[in-house]
Amino acid sequence: MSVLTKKISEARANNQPLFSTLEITQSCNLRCKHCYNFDRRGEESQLPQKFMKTSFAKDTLSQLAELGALSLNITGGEPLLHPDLIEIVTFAKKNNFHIRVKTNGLLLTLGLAKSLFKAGVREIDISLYGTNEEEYLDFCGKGGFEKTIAAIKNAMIENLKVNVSLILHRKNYKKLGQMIKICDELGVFYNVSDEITDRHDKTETKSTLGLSEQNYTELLNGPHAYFFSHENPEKNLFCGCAKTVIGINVHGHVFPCIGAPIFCGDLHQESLKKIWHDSKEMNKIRNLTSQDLKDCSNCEVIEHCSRSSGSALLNTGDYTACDPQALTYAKARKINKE
Amino acid sequence: MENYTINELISWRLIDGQILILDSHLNESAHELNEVGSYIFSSISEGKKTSDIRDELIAHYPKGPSLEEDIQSFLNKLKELQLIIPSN
Ligand code: SF4
Ligand code: SF4
Repeated sequence: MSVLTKKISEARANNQPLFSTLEITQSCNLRCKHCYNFDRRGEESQLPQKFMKTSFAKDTLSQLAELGALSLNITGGEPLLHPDLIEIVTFAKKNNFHIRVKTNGLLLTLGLAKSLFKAGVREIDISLYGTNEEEYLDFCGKGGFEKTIAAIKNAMIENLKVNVSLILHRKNYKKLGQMIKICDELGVFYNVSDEITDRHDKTETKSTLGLSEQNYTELLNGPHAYFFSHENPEKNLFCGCAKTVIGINVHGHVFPCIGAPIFCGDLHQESLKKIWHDSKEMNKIRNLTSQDLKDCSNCEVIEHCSRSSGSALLNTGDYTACDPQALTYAKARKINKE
Repeated sequence: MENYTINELISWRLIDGQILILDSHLNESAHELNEVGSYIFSSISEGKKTSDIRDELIAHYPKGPSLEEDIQSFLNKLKELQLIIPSN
């Protein structure tokens, strides 16, 4: 067992949040159709708070370090919009975090990539939404393809470890091969993200943009099937939420994971330590057993399921329910295997 | 004795008295230090001189014949992995 695997399983047993995510803004310079993040009912200017206050971010980082968090994922919205990003990263580095920034890349100039690395960022995750400007315009509300490619190059030049997330949905899944070719030509690591969830404002996305069973079957029979042919013989449906994972949003609300926004406490009211250890919701989630996932106990496709509780929550309102998207993918995998 | 600083490229956390080091850039590896190793590493991160760290350890532990050698070989190992860098 590697040192890291051993430490993760110890952290899981001791409820130690090794992996933390800090959302420093919900503002964004794109308007992706699938984005769950910002409330579509209002204008961005109506957001109660545009950027996390720098002093608040620093205090939160100190508390995270004290709780034992080692990995820090800085996210948004678009985190590069935060005016004090470098100051926040510098503080996180002083607190010995392994720092990763998740971005759409549009603002990542060579100069900024250099400053981020110097301040302490070690990894950068850049989302790729398409293969040309038209696809960006259609899906993200504005062009950005060339800027994203430039961002990937800039990050690589400045020694940042780059991962490109290939965002796949109903309208672009046929372009996967081209997206992979772009990454291969750049010599960059990539992964595929096929999770489309409903938005936080409850407007639906997955039925119009999520991959259908037919789309998924096509992918399973395509040249990049290895990204989709997930099998789960151990019938394991639990992730690190509330055990090794913690998420904090721009308002200081603490969640079991940034992708599972169950309110566990407000950092303006209580300490992180108290919320992490004593919150009723946090403890409820970490004490769930497979019997609590009622839909799953008799499921015929469980051995093909890659369920995420966060997606189940966003798509159904229930953290323990069947995630309809996971069901669609699991069914396609089962039929494809037979 | 040579003095050191922690390599800026790595990240680390003290967990239950033991340090976990994440090295994503140099060797793509993770390391776990025992209690004494963690003490030495933390002391380096605080900017202490190697000779002071050695003296503190000697004062704390009954001086076995190999303590000084053990400290040096531990530092050599960290240096070889580039987790610490000479700072004189
Ligand atoms: S770049 Fe990210 S945060 Fe911005 S709109 Fe797109 S998905 Fe949402
Ligand atoms: S498909 Fe639904 S019910 Fe079946 S295991 Fe996955 S989440 Fe549970």
